This record gives sequence, structure tokens and C-alpha cells, in this order.
Amino acid sequence: MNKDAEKEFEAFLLRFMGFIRAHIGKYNIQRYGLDPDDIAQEVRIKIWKLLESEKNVVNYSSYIKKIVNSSVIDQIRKLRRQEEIFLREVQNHVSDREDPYKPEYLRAAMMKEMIGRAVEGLIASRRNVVKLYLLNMGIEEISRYYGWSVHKTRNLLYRGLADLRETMRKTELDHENE
Amino acid sequence: MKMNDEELRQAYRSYVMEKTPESRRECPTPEALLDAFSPEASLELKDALIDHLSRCSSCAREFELIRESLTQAEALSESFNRIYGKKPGRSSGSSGFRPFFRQAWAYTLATMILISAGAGFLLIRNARARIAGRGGARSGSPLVRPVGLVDGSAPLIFKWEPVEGIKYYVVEISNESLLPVWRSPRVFAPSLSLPPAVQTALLKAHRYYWSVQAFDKSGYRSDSERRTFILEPPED
Repeated sequence: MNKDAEKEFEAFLLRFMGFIRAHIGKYNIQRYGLDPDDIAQEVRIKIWKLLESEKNVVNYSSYIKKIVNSSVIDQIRKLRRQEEIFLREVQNHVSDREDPYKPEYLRAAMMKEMIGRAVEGLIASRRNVVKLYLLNMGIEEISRYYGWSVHKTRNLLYRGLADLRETMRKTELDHENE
Repeated sequence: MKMNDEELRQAYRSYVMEKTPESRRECPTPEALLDAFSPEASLELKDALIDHLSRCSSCAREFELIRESLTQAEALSESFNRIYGKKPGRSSGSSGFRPFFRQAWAYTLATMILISAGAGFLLIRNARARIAGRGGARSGSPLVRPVGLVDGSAPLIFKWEPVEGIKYYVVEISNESLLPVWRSPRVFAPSLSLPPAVQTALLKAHRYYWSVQAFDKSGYRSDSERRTFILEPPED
């Protein structure tokens, strides 16, 4: 096996592991007692096994995607099992939560609620495009998700965002007039 | 107050992240989250999933993880292909005429694949026309029962009209949000008795949707319309 190629691929794997570690970290999974390196390590082992094996794989590209997807799905399943226990615990300790009646919490909460409601009030064809955009997806990703052209997606998104801002502006005016 | 896109995103994400579910039992499976990215997934399913995400922070996080890992997997497999091309370690030491013959074989094989793909396309087109001809472009199998309110204590039997040229069927049951809750194994007759364990898991007085996917010999899938049923709660 070419040493340079091996090093280059190792670098890609490291970058991938970094991504997975950072992403899994968002779940704050330490509270569930799981190790953030598990998933990246699993992918790494499976890929190296593939490289070492004599398996007759026709399409490596899709095989690797399957390895990644199945490892991610396995990890999500583990997380869910732990989360069920955690959620039950949280409900038993609702009183331990921070005081939600401080003025700064109230203001922020009202703003979030207003945005949430305004998004739900958008017309159906624009609503989900806007939701995906607000959940960090780019226009191209949204168009791939729906199988639409970028042009159509952009149109729906811009109109949806304009509607959203208009609704928020009106709601704010209503609040000021009250 | 004017908000730019980034501020809107932050506020909306924080709105969604506060929606903690009491339990994950009603959530789509991790596989359903992954399937939503497939071009074959229906628009209804994709929409239903996004509606769910905006009410469930856990699923929203998982959706994001899957979305980003798909991008990463794409980059990883591209780099793998670029670096190794074919299976590593096997092609080493080949020289002289062997690559030429391999190339000639590759061209011959590619030509044969193209010819069979063309023939396959014609066969599939004919099969599609046959399937579509019976009930419209998307209606693979007209559904017979159950429809509407059904007796929850009796075994639930799904029945649909057979379609010519179909190799097997798959029955899918979805909940009110159109998220799949159960998928049958391959069924070779136009009826299916729901396994008792699955029927017990379905909630009484809740609306469910069911549909049938019909697969022909070439693997081409045609979806039936969707019918709804509600399991009648037992009388007191």
C-alpha cells in the first residue's frame, strides 16, 4: 500500500473523527455516560477492516457511506436509550430548573415564541423551506433534500423569509399598541 | 426590531431546542430520519418529518447529525476513491500488457452494460406502463380494506387489488404525522394479516395511514394511494 496515500487517507479520517467528536459533543452525551469517540472509532475500524479484507466490494464509495450511516444510526439508537432514562429523571426534577421568571428570560422567551409562531403561520409551500433554512441548511442542501431546482427553492425561501419578517413586524406593532 | 438571517436562525434554533419531548416513543426511527434524505422518499414524508423536527429538539439534533455526517461521508468516500481508486493492494505489481487487456475488458464490459441497460430500460418502461395503466401513475395497487373505523379486537387484515407483473408487495403503516411506524416484510399475495404484536402496539382511537408499495421483477416500485383507519377502542 502506498505510504503517502495511507497518510493522506489517515488525515481524512482524523478530520472526520474531529467532526464526529465535535458533533456528538453537542448532545452533551457525557451526561448519558457515553464516550464521544465511540462513533469515530467504529467508523475508523470498519474502514481499516475493509482495506485489509479481501472482500469483493464493487462500489467502495457507497460502501463507505453505508459504514458511516450505520455507525451514526447505531450511535443515535444508543443515545435514545440513554435519553429515555434521562428524560424520565428530568421530569422527576422539574423543580431543579432555573427560575424561568427572570425578566431577561421572559424577553428572550417571548421573542423565540414569536418567531416560532410566525414560522408556523407561513403558507405551507414556504414554511418547511424556511424551517430547514433556520435549522442551518443552505439553499442547495434544501433543494437536494426536496429534489427541487435551486431557483425554485430560493424563490420559496426568500418569499417565506419576507413573510416571516412582515408577520414579526406586525406582531411587534400589536404589542407596542397594547 | 430588525433581525438578520443569522439572528433569526439563532432565535429559531433556540426555540426548537426548548421543545424537549417527554418521551421518544412517538419519534421517527433513526432510519426514517436518514431515509428522508433519499430522493425516493415522498414529499409527504419529508414534510411530516420537518414538522416533527420543529416540535422535538432531540430529533432536530439527530437530523442535523445525520445531515452533516452524510456530507462528511460523501467527502470521505471521494477521498477514498481518489487515493485508492480500486481495491488497494490488488493492482500493485501489474505492468506490461496486463493494463492494456484490463482496459480492453473494461471497454467491452462497459459496452455490454450499456446494451443491457438499454434493454432493461425498455423492459422497465413497458412494465411501468402496465402498472400505471391500471390505476394511474402512482396508484400501484387499489386498496380494499381496512378503511375508516375498524374493530380493534379482531385481527387486522389488509387487502388490496393484485397488480399484474408484480413480484412482491410491502405494506407500510404511518401515524398521523405520516411517519412510518411499521413496514411489513415482503408479501407475495395481495393480503396481509397484521402480526398481533404490531396490532397491540397501535394506539386505539388514533388515526393511521396505510399504503402498499408494489415491486416488479426489475425492482421498480409503484406506490398505492394512502388509506386511513382508526382502531375502535373496546366498549366499556
